[in-house]
Amino acid sequence: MLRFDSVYKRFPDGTEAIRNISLQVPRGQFCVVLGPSGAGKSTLLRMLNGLSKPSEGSVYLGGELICDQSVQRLRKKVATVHQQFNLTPRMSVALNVLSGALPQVPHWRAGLGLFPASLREKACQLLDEVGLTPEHVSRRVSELSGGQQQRVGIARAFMMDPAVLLADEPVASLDPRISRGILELLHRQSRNHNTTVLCSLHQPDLAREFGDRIIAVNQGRLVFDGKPEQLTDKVCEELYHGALNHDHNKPVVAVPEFEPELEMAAA
Amino acid sequence: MMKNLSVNRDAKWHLDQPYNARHLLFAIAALLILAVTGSRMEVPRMVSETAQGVGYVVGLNDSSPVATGVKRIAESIWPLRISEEIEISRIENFDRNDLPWLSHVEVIESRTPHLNTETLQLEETVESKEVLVKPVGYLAHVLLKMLETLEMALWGTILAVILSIPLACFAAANYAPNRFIYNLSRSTISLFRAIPELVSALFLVLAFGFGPIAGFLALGIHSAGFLGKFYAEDIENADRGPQEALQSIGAGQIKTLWYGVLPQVLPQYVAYTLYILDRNIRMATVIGIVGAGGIGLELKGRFDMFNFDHVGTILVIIFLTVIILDQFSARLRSRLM
Repeated sequence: MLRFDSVYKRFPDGTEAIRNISLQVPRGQFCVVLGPSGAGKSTLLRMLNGLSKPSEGSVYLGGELICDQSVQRLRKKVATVHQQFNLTPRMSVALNVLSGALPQVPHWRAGLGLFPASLREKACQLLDEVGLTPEHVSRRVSELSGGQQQRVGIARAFMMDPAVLLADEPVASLDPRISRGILELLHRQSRNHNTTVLCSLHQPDLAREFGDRIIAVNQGRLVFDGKPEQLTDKVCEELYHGALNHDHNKPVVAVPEFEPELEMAAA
Repeated sequence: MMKNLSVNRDAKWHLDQPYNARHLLFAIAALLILAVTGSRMEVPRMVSETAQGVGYVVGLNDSSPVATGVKRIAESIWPLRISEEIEISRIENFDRNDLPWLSHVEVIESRTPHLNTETLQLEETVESKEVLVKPVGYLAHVLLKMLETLEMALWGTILAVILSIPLACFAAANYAPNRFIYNLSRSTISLFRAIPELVSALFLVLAFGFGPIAGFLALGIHSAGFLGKFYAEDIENADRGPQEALQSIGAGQIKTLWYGVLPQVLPQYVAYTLYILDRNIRMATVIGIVGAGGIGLELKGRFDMFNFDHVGTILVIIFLTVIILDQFSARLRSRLM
């Protein structure tokens, strides 16, 4: 479903955000990306919706190369849930969710705010699925709590039946109790809609609980790839402390082969 | 970075006075500029004549040109002209049985002195004429002109909004389709802002003739320069998050602007537009002086005919309108922000 082929990303200031990452994520898998801040998690995710272009190597989505010609079309299959929710403030919950289907709506309808009935019904259904009530519909998103805003963000993400959902630290600005609820929701929604999820997280315990598979990046390199039970506390410690010490010579955590039976189970 | 932080341990402590030779030079240069420009602007004469005027008012000296001038204007302005008189002989198809609302007919006797060439005496001939008196006629006329002025300001603002929205989108660095269009719209906006209303109105009067068209076009073009700049800066400074969210699903530029930017900046836009409307009303009152319609045209005409009582009425109406609208728009804006 998703494939990274020896991908590098260098920024104009010379920093290397991604160094030689190759990765395949099969359809329907909930893949958690772990790593300290600045490890390249966001950059990795942003390459899939075309907000970041690889400097070297290629990224494929459903077998199609993401390039300038295809990116606008492929973007419609990729939804994103953001750390800061990225909802439009001062706009109602309803319009925020509906805006997730904007590429499907002709300009005149979008301009007048006249979304077709099918999309409005879908928005209601999704708002119900993410646990909001009809009274939230006409409220401004800025009046909602952080957790509720992220629920709106998730509803928006599913408006176009995405094949891939990118969750860029979806719970980093929420408290632990609400974080669990949001991840449960993401997990359930992606199962129900058979969506491939690439979700970056900071918390190893949450990663172990919700991920089908966990990968870890550090300093732009893939340093771990395995099942949740393989991510022991020792591995976590090495991952995070390795980053803090900036030890380039130290060998990274072994990357076990991804096991096919898990792939089958997820599909 | 590190270089700046390095500390020379051998340095001695000392605190300088806050001024040095450069400050002194700067002060001398500033004084020179003030002295030269002040004498060119006749500031000394202004001070002496104003002082003389004040002296006259408090009774210290007997005469003052400034005070005499002010007094003459004040005397001719007061009482304000409220009514309007029209000679009946000049009204076509006058019907005594059907007078306009609130008006009546009066007979006015006017005496004109003239020299009798035989007796070499000054004689007075008494002429009586019938006039139609409208007690609030002139006030009503001025209020109508004020309404026209407000309409000019309104349409100037509408034109400015229509012109500036596309200009602002192209002049916002993150939405301009390319560098050329970006620079083109930026410079158009600057150009609009650089042409004062009174100057463009002069030329527009030549093109469209006397009347409100030239007025509201001039206002619209000038204020489009301001609105375009304000709008473009707001688009650039809007929170990127929502825009990125919509771009990442492939919503396209226009829809992203509409759903990711507009809701964020709308209250600001409304506030700016109200401010521009407020400003246009003030400007519309004077733009008529060059013939572009509204109350300014009336003001200029009356001023040139030395009808200072009429001018007084016009000034009072302008003053009251501006004060009332100022209060109104200030409240509206504070509610929106």
